[in-house]
Amino acid sequence: MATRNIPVLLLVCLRLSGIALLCILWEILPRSGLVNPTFFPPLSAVLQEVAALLRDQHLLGHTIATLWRVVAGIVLAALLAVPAGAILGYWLPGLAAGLNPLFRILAQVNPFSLMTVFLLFFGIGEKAKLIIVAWVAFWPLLHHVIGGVQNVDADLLKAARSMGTSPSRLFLRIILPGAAPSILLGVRTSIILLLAILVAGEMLGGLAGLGWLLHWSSNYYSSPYATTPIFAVGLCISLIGVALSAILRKLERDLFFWKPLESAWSAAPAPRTLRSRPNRIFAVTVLSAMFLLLVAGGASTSRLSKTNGSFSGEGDVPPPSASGHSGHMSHERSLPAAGQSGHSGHTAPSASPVQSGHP
Amino acid sequence: MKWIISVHRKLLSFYLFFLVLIVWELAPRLGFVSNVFVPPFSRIVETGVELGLTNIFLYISISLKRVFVGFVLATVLALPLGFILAGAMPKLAAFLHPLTKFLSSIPPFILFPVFVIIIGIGEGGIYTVIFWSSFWPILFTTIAGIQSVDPLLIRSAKSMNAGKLVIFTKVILPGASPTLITGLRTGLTMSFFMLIGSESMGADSGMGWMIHNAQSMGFVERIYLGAIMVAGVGLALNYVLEYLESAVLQWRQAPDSSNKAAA
Repeated sequence: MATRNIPVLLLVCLRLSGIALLCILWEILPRSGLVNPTFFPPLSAVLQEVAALLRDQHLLGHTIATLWRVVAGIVLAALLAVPAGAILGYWLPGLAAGLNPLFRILAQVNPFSLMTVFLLFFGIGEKAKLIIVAWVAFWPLLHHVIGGVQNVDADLLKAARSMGTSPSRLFLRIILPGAAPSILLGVRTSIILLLAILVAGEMLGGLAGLGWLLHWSSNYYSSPYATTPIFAVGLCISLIGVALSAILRKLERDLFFWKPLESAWSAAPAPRTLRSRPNRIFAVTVLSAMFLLLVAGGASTSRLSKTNGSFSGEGDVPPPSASGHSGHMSHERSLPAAGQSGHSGHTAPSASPVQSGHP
Repeated sequence: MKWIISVHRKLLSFYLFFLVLIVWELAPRLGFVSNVFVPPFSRIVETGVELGLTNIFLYISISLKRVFVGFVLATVLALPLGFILAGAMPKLAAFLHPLTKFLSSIPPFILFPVFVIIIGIGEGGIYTVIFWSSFWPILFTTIAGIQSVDPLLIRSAKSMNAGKLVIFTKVILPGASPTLITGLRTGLTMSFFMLIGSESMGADSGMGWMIHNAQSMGFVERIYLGAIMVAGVGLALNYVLEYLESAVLQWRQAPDSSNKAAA
């Protein structure tokens, strides 16, 4: 714990310098030719690609679609897992212990292996993806809920029962709050895996979402560096992952200020003074953003899926010339011609070694 | 009477297991679900027999080999790196923290196309995916584990004039080992999850490939067979690690359970 001696300001600088160094290296190494820029494009090209995708390929819509699926899947899993886990953990602990092996088998059922079956049952639409996310999120959540319920302070339970609390009130007031930190921990630990699984699911079968965009854009290498779209979409996915886990961490710190935080590698120990008072503003903001996302994101996602579905065939192969064919493409875009030329027209900086545009 | 209850307790999970199997067998046969989408369990067993035990073991061993190569590589690199970062250079750890956070949240699949371009189709890409997905959990938990070792223990060891090496092997390592093993378990689970996906993307053997192949050929029975195989192997791996955990951390078990009983 030698980090306690580092002042906070210096620590912030240190952390930022880590990112800055990465950015500079990412820019310089490909440009200087130490790394093959065809495989590893410089940061500026990737950022340009992000801008181009944002302009032409509904990057924002795809991001919202992915986020919506993650949030909706987790909410679905939580709605199922919390009551089930509470009942099993509190009222039927024997059954929970007996069922444990079965749960563990089911938790090991890889959603990839059943992807086709899910697709057969639920179609390639939203349902299959939601089920995949919910499936992956459900088992760790259930595990954590059962664990959390069983670790609720027994004195609290006894006190509540001795005062004649009804079971439903006991559940809402004692068991659920007692298990909440454990539940959030379950979500937080599985969020990266969830995102990875979801992206893979979108890559394998879907019509919207970042995974679909990645799959689509890695099929056509229009930009000067072959792998730029992959890196651009990858950057977005990673940033989503970082943001989601940061939000969950902050939520955990704000909501459960009364619980000592066990650090998953926080180099600086969290200053105690900041956690002395509950801060509900952030939690309320997150919650309302979640609701907004659930409502608006669902609508936007279904619209985007329909848009892409109509041109999923020709979308894979963009027309060779920018102005020629885009006139009779059926898909819905505000400016099809401008969009196409914008994407293929954003060429490399002049120093780039590979200048092959479209085949 | 008591022993009946204890036997019943032990068999409880098996009852449900058999119940699931019976429902699986009867539902398609009685026409509740389409027997094309959900073939009855006996047909899946039949397919397994048809495929042959040798083939099944071959697929499993190929997949296991991939997991182990990637996982061992990740462990060998991440554990020492975590020791060094957490123990010797906490400033460097703080410096690298955002970077590692960012890298760890890159899903390994999206790197797969890049790996294929750089390394080529074949084992390299799969090893890299597995390495990537198990490296970060192991590194994070290693650092967390070492930083959460009680400083009092380290100080008391120091006051008894223990050398750095002795402190590391006698105090820090045992103190951090529960967390280390949790990290290893997380890494293995993660990499096993990723294995199936990466095998179905670019491989010509293994369980993921078998499932992928069955998917593209429309052998629904084989998909289920593959799912069962994957789940079984994953479960077995989990149990092995749990056994190792309880064997290594025997000293840890007693206070833990007494704590729970007290609570």
